[in-house]
Amino acid sequence: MFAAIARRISLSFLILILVSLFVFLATEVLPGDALDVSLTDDDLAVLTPEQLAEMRAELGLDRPAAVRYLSWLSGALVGDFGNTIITRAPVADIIMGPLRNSILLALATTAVAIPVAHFIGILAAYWRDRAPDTIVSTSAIVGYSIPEFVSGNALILIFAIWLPIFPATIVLYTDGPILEMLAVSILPVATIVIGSIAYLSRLLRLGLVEALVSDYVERARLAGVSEWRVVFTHAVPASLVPTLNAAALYVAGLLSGIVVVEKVFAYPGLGLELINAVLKREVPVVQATVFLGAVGVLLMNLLADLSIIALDPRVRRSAGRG
Amino acid sequence: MTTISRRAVLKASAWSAAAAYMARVGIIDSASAQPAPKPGGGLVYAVTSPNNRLGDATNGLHPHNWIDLANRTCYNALVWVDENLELQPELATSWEADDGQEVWEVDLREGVEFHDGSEMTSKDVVSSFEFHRTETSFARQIASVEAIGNHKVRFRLTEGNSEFPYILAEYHCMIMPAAEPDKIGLSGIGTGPFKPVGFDPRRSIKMVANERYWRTGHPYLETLEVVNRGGQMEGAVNGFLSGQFDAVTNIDPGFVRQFQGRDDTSIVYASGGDQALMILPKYDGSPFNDKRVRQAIAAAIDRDRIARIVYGSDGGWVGNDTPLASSDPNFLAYPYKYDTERARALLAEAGYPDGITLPTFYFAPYWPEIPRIFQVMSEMLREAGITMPIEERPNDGYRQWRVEDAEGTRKHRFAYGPVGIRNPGISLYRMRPDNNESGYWSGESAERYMELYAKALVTGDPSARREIYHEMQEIAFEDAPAILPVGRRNILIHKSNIAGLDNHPQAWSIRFDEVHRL
Amino acid sequence: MLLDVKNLTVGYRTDDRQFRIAVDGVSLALDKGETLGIAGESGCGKTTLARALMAYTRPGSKIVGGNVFLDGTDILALPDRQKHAIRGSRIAMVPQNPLSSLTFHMRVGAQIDEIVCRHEGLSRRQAQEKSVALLAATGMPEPDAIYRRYPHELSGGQRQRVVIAAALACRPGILVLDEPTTALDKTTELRVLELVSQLREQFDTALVYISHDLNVIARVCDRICVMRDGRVIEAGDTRKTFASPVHGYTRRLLDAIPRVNASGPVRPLRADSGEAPILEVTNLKYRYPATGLGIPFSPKKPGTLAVQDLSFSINRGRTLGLVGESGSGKSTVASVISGIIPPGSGKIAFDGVPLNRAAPERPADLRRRIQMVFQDPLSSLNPRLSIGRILMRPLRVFFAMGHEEARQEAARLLERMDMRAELLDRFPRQLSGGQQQRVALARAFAARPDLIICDEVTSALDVSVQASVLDLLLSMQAESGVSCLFISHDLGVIKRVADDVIVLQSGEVRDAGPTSDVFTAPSHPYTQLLLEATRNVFDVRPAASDEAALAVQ
Repeated sequence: MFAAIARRISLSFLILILVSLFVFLATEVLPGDALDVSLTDDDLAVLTPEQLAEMRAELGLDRPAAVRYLSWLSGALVGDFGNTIITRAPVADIIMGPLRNSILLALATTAVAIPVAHFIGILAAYWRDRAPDTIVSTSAIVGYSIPEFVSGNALILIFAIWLPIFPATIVLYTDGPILEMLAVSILPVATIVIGSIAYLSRLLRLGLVEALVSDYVERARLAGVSEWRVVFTHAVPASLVPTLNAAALYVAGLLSGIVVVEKVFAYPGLGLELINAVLKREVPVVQATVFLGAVGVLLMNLLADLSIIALDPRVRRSAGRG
Repeated sequence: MTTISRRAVLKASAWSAAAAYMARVGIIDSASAQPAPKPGGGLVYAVTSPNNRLGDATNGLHPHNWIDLANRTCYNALVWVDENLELQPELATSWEADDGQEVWEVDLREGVEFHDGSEMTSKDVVSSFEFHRTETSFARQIASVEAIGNHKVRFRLTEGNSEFPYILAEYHCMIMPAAEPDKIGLSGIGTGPFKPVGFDPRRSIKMVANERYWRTGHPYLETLEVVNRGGQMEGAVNGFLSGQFDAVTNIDPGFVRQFQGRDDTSIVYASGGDQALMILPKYDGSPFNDKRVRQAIAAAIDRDRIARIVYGSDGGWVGNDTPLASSDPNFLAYPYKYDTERARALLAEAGYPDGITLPTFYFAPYWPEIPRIFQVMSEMLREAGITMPIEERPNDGYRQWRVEDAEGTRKHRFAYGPVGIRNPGISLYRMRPDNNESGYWSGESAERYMELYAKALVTGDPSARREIYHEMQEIAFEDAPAILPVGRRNILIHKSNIAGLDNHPQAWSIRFDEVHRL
Repeated sequence: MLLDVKNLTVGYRTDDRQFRIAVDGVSLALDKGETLGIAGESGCGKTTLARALMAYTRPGSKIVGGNVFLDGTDILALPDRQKHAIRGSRIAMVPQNPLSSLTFHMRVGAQIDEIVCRHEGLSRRQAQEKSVALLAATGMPEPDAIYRRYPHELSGGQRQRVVIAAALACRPGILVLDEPTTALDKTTELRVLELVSQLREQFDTALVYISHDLNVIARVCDRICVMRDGRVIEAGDTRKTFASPVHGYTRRLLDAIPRVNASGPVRPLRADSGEAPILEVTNLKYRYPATGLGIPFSPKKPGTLAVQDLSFSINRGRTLGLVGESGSGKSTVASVISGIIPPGSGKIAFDGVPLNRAAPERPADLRRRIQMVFQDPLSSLNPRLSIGRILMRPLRVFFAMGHEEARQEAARLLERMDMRAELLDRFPRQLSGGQQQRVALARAFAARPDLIICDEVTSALDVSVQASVLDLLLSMQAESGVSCLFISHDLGVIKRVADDVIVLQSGEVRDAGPTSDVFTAPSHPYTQLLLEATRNVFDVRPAASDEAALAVQ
């Protein structure tokens, strides 16, 4: 089992390096560099090519791409993400606050989405093909197919503009207190939840439907085990295993949802930071942000694997063997 | 004219303009002045203009790292450009130049205190400009700056610049308490009407009134918060609609419609704003090498109609095919009328009797209405027998894409570029032959244009200078190095219970001294 | 009367929303301590009937008529709560598949505990004591340890014992066993049947025993019902029914059972041609691949040995039967020869040519000459291809036939398999299991092979279908002279088709020789045990046999 986890971790490490290389190459092919986009057209109208070259050399932008990448990577591996190109601020300082906020948003979303998805999924699976299932499945498809920026703006229109209950756009500082951050995050959380709950509850429903028609559930029922116990002790834990296997997809969906929602609500998280950093060609910030995103995805998958091991003794044994 | 008399004229004009301004806003009591507005209350406003350089830092309160539209809340420059693009004294009281316009002496206002109570002297100004001249593109022309006594400084420029006072009003060039170049500005202390109490440049800056403000009686507001919604106009407007913001600056004309006719919202148009530039590249084999083709295009567009179609009655303005703003005192009205017949005749003369097909014209939606402008234009050109295919490009990386390696080859795309409103020294300089924005304009006219420009820069007398500028514009009318079909006016919205919030063609020059709640 | 079923009718809704009857007016009765067998082939409604006896139907099914009187009370009329109370306490079930009938993420002890807690209101500690005692009663050593195990840590036989212990937990008056041993090996089945008989006496329980296997029913039951299409077509005393079946269907069922020890050779012995053998296997060893961490240079555990030093040969035109229970290595042998898995050490010679490469590397003609047929036809036939395309493919690949020619040949093959040529345009899923297996056979014969490897080809089929598929195989073989390696766990089937036989256990040969010799005079005790386990009802219970024969050993 530990060997399996060690293997996963060493593989994850390799993936991280590949991801960072890929991101670096992607930012390389974008037109222009950090200096170009930091200057306005008005600035460029008065600067001579010589002055620009001099500034570029000062910022280290004239170094070959491979050299810049390797110096970034060697720093990143020991947790030093370097400095931003234009303001020379430590990248770690810039992303620390947004990182905290994005983790907060992800946790809040998960804390809401998981129980609600369970409730809905169980309802739909238990009354399969009956009214609750039809309602849930239909609304799930609708929820799933609405892009986050549409549902987010709809929520803003209803709950911030028509009924001014929540803020339409978040003005809290990046290092705002956690509780205040949570308080203003209700609409963003709701937006992501609407999008991911559909997927999650469908997944759970599928796993649970399968578990409910399984031989072991039938045996338990035929032994007179109460329906409540059949569902919650036998079927639901069993249905979590296939659900957790799809966790990678959920995490990926969660991350993309977070990026969109942070933009819609101006939530001071990593997604907003990433969008701005791409526009500014602040490659060190883009790198660090994507790197952390990849770490997040890999950690969540590791967590899912561990949960499967906890839930499914069969995996525990084969993981121990292999 | 002698040096002395010119100095006198300059001083007088600066003072009279200042006096007129102060009378208007109620600093100087006069019989017709309104009673002073009631002080108190706060204002929260959102800025939407994306500024890629500013708002970046987490580590300081330095004006270079601020959202540009917020600079004049906390800081002052030596000079302010008013809503009519006229110079007004700010921390300077007067300025004068030598004959070559190369050495400038600036008298400083006495009795000005920074937020921390220390007095602003020439030491602070020298220290600030030692920093600016290495860090700001517009201030690189300053060769040296020195103090002459406590309240006077002397700037030496690399070459003469008669429009130098405008540089002293630029948004970067704020006055900070003297410090080492690597420390200066980080304290967030300025001389401005508000002082920061909460600061996260990516998010917002919270300020309270500066009780030591040198304009006695100002500001009226007790608190001011500037929220950074750069590139997030929708978020800013949502925040306004939900009551989070009292005002939003620089909103797109497309967002204005929903506020028209609403009692609770005032829409304030500035006299101008950015202009759309159509760059005509003049490399070997380009159809734009022929002046007649360029003139034909200029004649075949009805500028007023474009402004009306795209912006309606209030939102647009029409320039004169130079980067100069129509509100600029040196502006010369465009002499030609919309005339398709003339356009056809010019084309026939140039060897295109059956009309011409231009290369594809590229643009990026820097403003949402850009595509509309060039669609309308393309339609109009067709009436004169000019076919202009158009293609939209993404904003991201657009400038680099259209220029490519034009610095070396002079070859670049037939494309759109944005032009901001500046003084003639900068605006007319944009049409210089070695700038891509002029399409690398060359030939006799271009040479004459630059000769005149060089002369204007060393001409101290404003009216003489105006003559030169007029001549330069006339050259541009005849040679048509570029086309600037239409401009947009800056728009801000605020709640109706706010007064004294004027809009400005240079959005970073908006002042909050007079803003008050009703 | 303990259990009295009157006119019980159960229907279900099909996927196309039609209502069909699965159990059609069945009446039966069971007295205290009695054993009743319900026999029938798949789809006859016997499992639905078993569930209905507990007033239970699967979702989508519905009891539409009749009564089930338990001690005089019609349990179908009871409210749900009371039905739940009856299940597991007064009437209990041992379901079909012991491998999947226990919840995989719960320890087995907890799954017995919850039943006694529910019905007898015991505390956890009392329940645990009782569960351990039950596990001990099922004859498992170290019941305490078993109690704490997860299902996957137990063997199939052990899991079935756990399920039986759970069913008997509340000493139910009636125990319904639904094909309880079908998924188990023959020797395990024998031991489980012994256990059932023993526990029946110990717990004084009446049995309803449902099986497709008449042999097993004959071993266990006093009375038998034969079901077909949801109806009971014949019922009565087991011995009498077997001795003189009234209904033609019953007779056919009995005839179709391959007999291990019926007198006389079942098939004519083919003469040994004396030519060189078509397949010669010498000292074949196969070890499962080593498992490791997947990290370079980390230590690896050696894999288990699946086949040890196996040598045999198949002569042209003859059939070699390979017998063994699951895990004996018989399928590994088939996979190595057909090239599905890479060969281990040892020599395999096919028609004198060494066969030591995996299938994709073998020349096309060699691939043509060795064909394989598997247990589950549905997973070996491409579900997206029509039967015609499936059959035409080898014809076009190996013989370069044109479309028309191939289609005609495919139709001919299908008709040779006693199937109508119209089926060419159907898809595998639209055929019955027997038809699918015939298509798989036809595809193998289409390549005109020299050797066919049949791996448990009839194990998934009902006895009557099995008989017809075996007949077909034999006649095709007689026609084409193809040699055959026939793998099965069923000695009756082997006896019917194989000239020679090898008995495998744990990868080692226990017995080998001509089929008649091995079956009449087994030399190894394991072969004897296997033969004992599959001995026909007709020997265990000859018409005059006494009751004592019921309690097996």
